[in-house]
Amino acid sequence: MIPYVARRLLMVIPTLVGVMLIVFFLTFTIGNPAVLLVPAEAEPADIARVEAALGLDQPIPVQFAKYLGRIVRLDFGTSFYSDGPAMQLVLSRLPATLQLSLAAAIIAVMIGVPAGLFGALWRGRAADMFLSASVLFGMSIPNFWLGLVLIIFFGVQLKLLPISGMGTIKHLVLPSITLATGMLASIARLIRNDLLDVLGADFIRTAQAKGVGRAAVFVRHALKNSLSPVITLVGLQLGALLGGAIVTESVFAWPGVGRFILQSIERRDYPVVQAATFVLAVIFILTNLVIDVICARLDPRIVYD
Amino acid sequence: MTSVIRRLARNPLFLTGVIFLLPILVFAVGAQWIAPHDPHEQVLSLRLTPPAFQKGGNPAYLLGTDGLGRDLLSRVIYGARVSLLIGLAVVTISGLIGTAIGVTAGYFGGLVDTLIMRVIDTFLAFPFLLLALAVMAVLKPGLWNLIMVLALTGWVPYARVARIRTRTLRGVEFVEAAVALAASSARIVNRHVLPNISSSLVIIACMEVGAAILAESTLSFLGLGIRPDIPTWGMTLNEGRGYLLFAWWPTTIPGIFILLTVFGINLVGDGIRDATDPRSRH
Repeated sequence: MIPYVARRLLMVIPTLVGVMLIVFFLTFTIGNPAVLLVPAEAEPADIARVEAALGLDQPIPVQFAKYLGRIVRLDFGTSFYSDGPAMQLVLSRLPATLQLSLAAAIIAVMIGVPAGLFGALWRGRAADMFLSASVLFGMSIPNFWLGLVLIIFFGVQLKLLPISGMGTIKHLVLPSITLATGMLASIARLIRNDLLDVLGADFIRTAQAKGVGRAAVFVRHALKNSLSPVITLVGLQLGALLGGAIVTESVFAWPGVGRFILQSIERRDYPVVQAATFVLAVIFILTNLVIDVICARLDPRIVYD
Repeated sequence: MTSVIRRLARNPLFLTGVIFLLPILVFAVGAQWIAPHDPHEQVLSLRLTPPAFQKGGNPAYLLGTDGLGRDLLSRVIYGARVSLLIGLAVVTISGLIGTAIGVTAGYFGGLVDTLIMRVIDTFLAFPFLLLALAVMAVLKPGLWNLIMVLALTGWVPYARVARIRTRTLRGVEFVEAAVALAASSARIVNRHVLPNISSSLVIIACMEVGAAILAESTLSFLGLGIRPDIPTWGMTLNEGRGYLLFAWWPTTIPGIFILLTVFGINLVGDGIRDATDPRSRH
């Protein structure tokens, strides 16, 4: 078990280096931040001075080496815009994003799992067809648009819920529903299809032949076996969730990392873009690592060689 | 083949999808003959006219007008053309890239496979939207740039499936026989591997058309899409956002078209998957 975890942790390193390589070159191609930091009437000499102060006048390989050296110490430099350490600025916005993502994941699992179960139980009947159609419908909704429609309906017309910002539990309702929809649909779809696969397996037929009751077959044999693909999907969906947070947070003015990234791209605030991407990638990679380990424990067929 | 068609014809969800998609296809092909107005024509005296069925509506503007007095129906009809073009182009390009990468990894295995898997892991760990946003911020906004960005981020599902399927095929008797007969790798891939994995890839492609349309509208919504003179659904929707508090139609209507189109594509894709999947034959 421990060698397995250690090996998986080692495999994280090349992935992270790859992510940071992409981030470095992307941020460099976005544009020259020095131009944005000086007043419009600044002389070229002023721009050059700002570049020198930010270290932007050095050759790109030198900048990259320095960048990697700093990242190893988790130092992403100072924000060009608000004068604080980039990492600290990102981390201060992380709780808001985690709160939103967690709320969305809970909604998605609470509704998606039972929906998938019922689809598999009622396979081929009208109810299953209705559920399948709803799932595909859910996967088709543009989530920024859903956010706007919810704002129009619950915020503007009915005046039931706040439409922007963060604070009370009421503020959480519309953004988390918006963010949850796509994940909910994916979970319901996976559970249904996976359960149907498992229900067709030999060991289910054996259990039925032994005279095990329908409910017991379903819960003890089928459900237990389709647990690990679902957990794996939740992990992979987390990436979509964190990405979706960029849009959802900007629709609802939610003060999280997603909205902050969008603002920082617009301001060419490289250190913040780099730090935020690093944080999101680390969360994604570590969650999936933990999930793989949980799955390996749940499923004796997975060997940690 | 005929049994597949027969199964499709009996699948109400597939047929519903076709019904949703047909008008969109007609819009895309015949926009210049169908649209009642020029999508760029601004009639400032008719700014934010509500849809015809609502109080204050104007029958000449069935779905109302936007904040500059442009006909929403005409903009949406022209938008269908752009959205479908983007969806199909992205799927074609990313499908080719992903298949080539996945087959290479699965066929040769070893170090090549390890390297490609690391690249795939990197792409999975990276929020796609962030990559697309950053690249779009660099490139000049434009149709082909947008298509390239979406293709660059969309190849991963094809690569993963192509890799797994190729690896399985590598150990099957008829591929081993071809290797024993000293057939070249190119010949084995073309004659034995690709024909056997193409159906799963086509099914992914069907679902990905919808994903590409959603991604385009998301980028346009964030203001990083195509040039403003092409009326895409995402951009029309984004332009309506400023009037959200007193006019629901400029945001809601383009969104309904995105939703119905992607829903139609997903229904059709799902129907094709069911009809070709041997496990669902009962």
